[in-house]
Amino acid sequence: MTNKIEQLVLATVAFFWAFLLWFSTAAFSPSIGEFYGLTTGQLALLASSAIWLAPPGRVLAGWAADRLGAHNVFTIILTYSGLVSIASAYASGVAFLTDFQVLFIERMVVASAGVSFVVGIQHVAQWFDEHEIGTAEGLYAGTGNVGAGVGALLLPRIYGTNFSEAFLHLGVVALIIAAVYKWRGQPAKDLATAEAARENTSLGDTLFVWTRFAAIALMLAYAMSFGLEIAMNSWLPSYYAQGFDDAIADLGFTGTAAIQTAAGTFAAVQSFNASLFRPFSGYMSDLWQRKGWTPYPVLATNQSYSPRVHWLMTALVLITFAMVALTLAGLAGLLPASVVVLAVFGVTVSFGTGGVFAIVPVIFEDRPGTASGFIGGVSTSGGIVYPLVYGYVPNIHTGYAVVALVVFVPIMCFYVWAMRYEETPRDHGFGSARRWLGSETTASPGGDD
Amino acid sequence: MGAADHDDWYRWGKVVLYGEMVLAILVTLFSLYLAFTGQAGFLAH
Repeated sequence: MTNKIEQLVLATVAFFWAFLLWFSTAAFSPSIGEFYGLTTGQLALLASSAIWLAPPGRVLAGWAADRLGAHNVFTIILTYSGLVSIASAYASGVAFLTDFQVLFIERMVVASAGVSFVVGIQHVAQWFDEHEIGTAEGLYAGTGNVGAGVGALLLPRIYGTNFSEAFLHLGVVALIIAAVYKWRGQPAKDLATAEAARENTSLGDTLFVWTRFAAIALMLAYAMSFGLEIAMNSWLPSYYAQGFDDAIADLGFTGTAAIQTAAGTFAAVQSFNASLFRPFSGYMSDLWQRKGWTPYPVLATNQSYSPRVHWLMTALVLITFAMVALTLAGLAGLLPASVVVLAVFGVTVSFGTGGVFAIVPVIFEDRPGTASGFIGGVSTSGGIVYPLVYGYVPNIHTGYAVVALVVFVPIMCFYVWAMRYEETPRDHGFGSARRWLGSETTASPGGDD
Repeated sequence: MGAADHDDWYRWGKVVLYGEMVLAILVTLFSLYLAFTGQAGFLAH
């Protein structure tokens, strides 16, 4: 019993640090830009590069967690990202690469520490029982996610413009955490559970998960929540700076630096709420499960996890309403209203992120890593897509409502369609289970059936 | 399935998650207060 808490704490601390590594570049981007004389475009490239690695990296990391054990994969990720972070403290040009190009490549490698999210999800799933999985995964992911906000607020205050020293220290601590993880980490609560995950890692198993309608629906739901969260992280500062320039000027913020600071502060409201309310969402999923609440007639009600599916539906509806409300507050030109809506918006996003990963380990209990890699990885591309839409529509305020109506409503319809099945959803997808997995029965965790 | 079926950790897990929610609300109020009183620079520097 105590051991699973140790595993949860290990995964949470390691993921928190991985997120800190991921966003430590952004925290120092003004200092880096000044030091290397970068253009705004180069800085934006540096900031966005981290997201591009996430979809393929998470897919691979999730599969590897099932195959090799989460403790091994987490150790590998923290070790290489820690070493490269230390190297980036001393970045200098080699061969035909300039100083900045070397730093850029090194920081991209460091940022890939963010793929460890799915490794920790897999690790926690292998240790906690079904009735408490939402709370456990929520605590893991929510506390870890806040590493981004903590990094943005604390790193520049501790290190000033000395980003090299920060990268050195962050890397050293990553290596220490990697050593502790290797020493204390265990892949699963029992051998049978670990073995089941390990055996279900063939290409056929991967394709099976990728083609299930339920997995696709959850992936889209995660794109609607986490994908949206990271899209907003990068989009909101410029949205407030442009969309509310007069209102911000009226508050006494003039000049680029002051406006950026004010806009960034409003944007941070979203980030903190989306991270820190996530464990509550996991807890709500557990609560709905315990109480058996299934209010939506369009969704199946007779599966063992149906209440969790209904809780996630609630979250998706709330996110959609919050997006429309953001547009309305923006069109009305009310900055205080917009920021209050944004705080509520962050909470609804956390309901989505926490709700998805309260379901994933339950439906795909014998392939938690592969499923988490697909759902947590591919959905990250939302972080790239939404800002493109926001920037494309003529009025900067209308982007949220457009995305809500054009993207989110169809996703919810698909979710309802995919989750309506009265029998087990794993039977429904492109191709039958037999086609992907062959005729042999698949390994499942010991003692749970 | 009642609360009694949970291990001890669940009670402490709930304490942590409520603590995190309180922290989120405090950070929100704090940053909004600073921003709307024109002191957001304090957070950034």
